Amino acid sequence: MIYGAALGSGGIRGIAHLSFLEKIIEKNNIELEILTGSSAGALASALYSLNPDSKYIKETFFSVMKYYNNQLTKLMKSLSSGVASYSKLITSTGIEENNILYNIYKDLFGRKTFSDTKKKLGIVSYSVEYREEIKMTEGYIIDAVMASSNVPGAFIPHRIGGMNLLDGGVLDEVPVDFCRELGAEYVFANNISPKKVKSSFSNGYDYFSYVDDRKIGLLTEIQMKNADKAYTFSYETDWFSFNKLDDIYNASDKFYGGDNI
Amino acid sequence: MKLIMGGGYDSIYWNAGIISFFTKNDIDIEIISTGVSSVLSIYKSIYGKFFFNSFKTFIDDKNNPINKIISQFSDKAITSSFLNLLKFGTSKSEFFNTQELQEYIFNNFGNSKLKDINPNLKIEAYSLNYGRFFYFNPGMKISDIIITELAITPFFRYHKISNVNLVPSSVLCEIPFKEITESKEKHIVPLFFKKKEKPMPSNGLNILLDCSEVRRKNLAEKISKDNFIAVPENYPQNPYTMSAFFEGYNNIEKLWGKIND
Repeated sequence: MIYGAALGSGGIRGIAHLSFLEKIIEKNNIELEILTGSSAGALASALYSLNPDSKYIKETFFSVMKYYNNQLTKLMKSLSSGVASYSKLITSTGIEENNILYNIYKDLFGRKTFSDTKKKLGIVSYSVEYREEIKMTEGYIIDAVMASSNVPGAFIPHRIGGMNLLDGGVLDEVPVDFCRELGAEYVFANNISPKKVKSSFSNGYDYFSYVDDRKIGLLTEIQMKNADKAYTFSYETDWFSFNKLDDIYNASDKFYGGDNI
Repeated sequence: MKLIMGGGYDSIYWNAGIISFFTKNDIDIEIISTGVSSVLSIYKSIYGKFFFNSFKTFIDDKNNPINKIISQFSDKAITSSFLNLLKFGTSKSEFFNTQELQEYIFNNFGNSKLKDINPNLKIEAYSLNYGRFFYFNPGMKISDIIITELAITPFFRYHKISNVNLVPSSVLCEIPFKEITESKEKHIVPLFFKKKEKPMPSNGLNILLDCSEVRRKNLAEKISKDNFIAVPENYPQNPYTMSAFFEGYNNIEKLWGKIND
């Protein structure tokens, strides 16, 4: 049996994928051969494909995140500044330029390519002009992960291959079907962005974002149904709450370490 | 076999052409609708074969708030205005005045109920507070149903009935969701989709609006893929004209011929 894992988008909540990978492998006594990911899931699946050792990845990732702590705090403030950030959305194609993520990914991936991975890797992104999902299985990993984690509105689109690319989560939060396309016979799916209902909205942007979130939720439900085993980790926080890295990791370790797997 | 119809404002004429094909040829087909198609379906129930003349009078009325959308020719002009975008995001939750729409529809349809025209009409909406799709029950006022079905984001705000915030399903998924995902029967599904490629949107908010539209359409494509699909062969330059009507009429005529061959 060829086992694969499809890892979902969710910003900083993506740290939960590390516990997820460690526990499903340990508890099911299996090897994962194929990994697909979107956004934060792309980052986790790329790291794991290059070096399938969850503990090593965790240490490396935490140390890089701590090194960039001040810049991440600035980014967090900029993205949560309400009206000011909304005005930027109208005057530019994104609130920020994504330099900080580029620096982090450069430290993590350097010039590694898909052909350097020990596991088969697939990363999804979204083309603004072609208005469709882009599936990446070759080239420099940093480019694919940058494109895949390029949250629309928050960052200006990332240009590669003659396209302006955005976060894979635009259309495919948890790329289960892609994992099968790459050859997985049994797919574990991990969704780290469950959607909550709400009934009041602070402004039009909040309302619009909520409606859109419902759509993403429906698209993700379809993918999750196509998985052989689907998990949903719930930790309510904004995707850019970088200061909650430790809390999220601990909560996920408890969640996946319990009877949930 | 049923006719599963949805769509935004730009599909009004196309969908009218499709229903006209069935009424003109005395083909009795059950319609399940959401969005603007629900208004067409209600008009068909009231006026039968000659529904389109009455419907055209309704949308051409200068006092009808949806006439503003049609006369401004598509969402492009509306969403390119800086002031519109700023007001939408920071306060209003709508590009047009939802209250004006409510008053206009109440004045036109009064207190008559769905059961007065056709108790079996299946019109789908989505409850934002409960995160559920549902059909309006026959005891509902037609005016409330029409206001809900026209409450298309970002043009109008959701319609509130007894503390439940309602939008047409088409805001999330372009076409009615329940029938297609719950039944194994094959249906006819008209989709007024144009070629996917589009120039790069000018700012972050327009990127978000575009991603939102693509999600709505992508979801409809995913759930309807095993059905009989009608799409425009020649997408009209202006969708608010009779050329869109005839595109719908001729397309469904061809598809109906193929199905019955």
